[in-house]
Amino acid sequence: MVSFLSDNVQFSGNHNIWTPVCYGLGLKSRLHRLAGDCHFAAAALNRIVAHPINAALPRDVLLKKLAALPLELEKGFCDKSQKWSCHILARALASICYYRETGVPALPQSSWYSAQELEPLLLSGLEKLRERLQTA
Amino acid sequence: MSSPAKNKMPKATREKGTDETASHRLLFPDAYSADLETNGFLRIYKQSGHRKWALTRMEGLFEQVDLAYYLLARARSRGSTGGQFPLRQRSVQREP
Repeated sequence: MVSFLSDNVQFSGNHNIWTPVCYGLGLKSRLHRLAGDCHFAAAALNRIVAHPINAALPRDVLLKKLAALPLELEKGFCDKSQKWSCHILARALASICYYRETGVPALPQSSWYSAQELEPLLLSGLEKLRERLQTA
Repeated sequence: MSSPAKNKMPKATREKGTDETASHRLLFPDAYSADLETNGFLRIYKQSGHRKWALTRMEGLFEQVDLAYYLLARARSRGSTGGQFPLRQRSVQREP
């Protein structure tokens, strides 16, 4: 699915369109990396590096955004509405995954935080989302 | 008698007899289809999204990324992929 998105949408200067595709590329890079397909993972990552999102975000704003992600996951998990719960969790997971996968030297922002510290947060977020999806 | 979805089509499209839904299904991969979806929430999500998702609108693209995370989270629950999405397995299955 994320391959379908990223293969069919190219960066055209419109960041409104590119932002969700970048989140998709982050997930694609992760899935290939976990599957051992390093070449494909790097290819997806290279497309992000060429046109990163939030590239101009100041350090303190980015760190604040990252610090808010655990709370966002908790907020999503506790929301009474299943639809909103899943929506909030998926958006938070997309951000976490993006910053987890873009923790590479090619992106200057990556030196401001530890990408590996996002891994347990991502896994716990997926568990929360799984639980909310099952309560259908 | 035409269906309500068909009545919403522009007149020119309706007269040409183009089935908008069928062409939409051809464009998107199977993962988007609600037909074989067993999870109630995801079935409704896919059904409502299928009609409006496009590759040229921000909100639709975000919803498709959301769906990818829903499917990933659910794949983890099956336990068959060891917490990973079966990217490699799928590519192997596609080979003739």
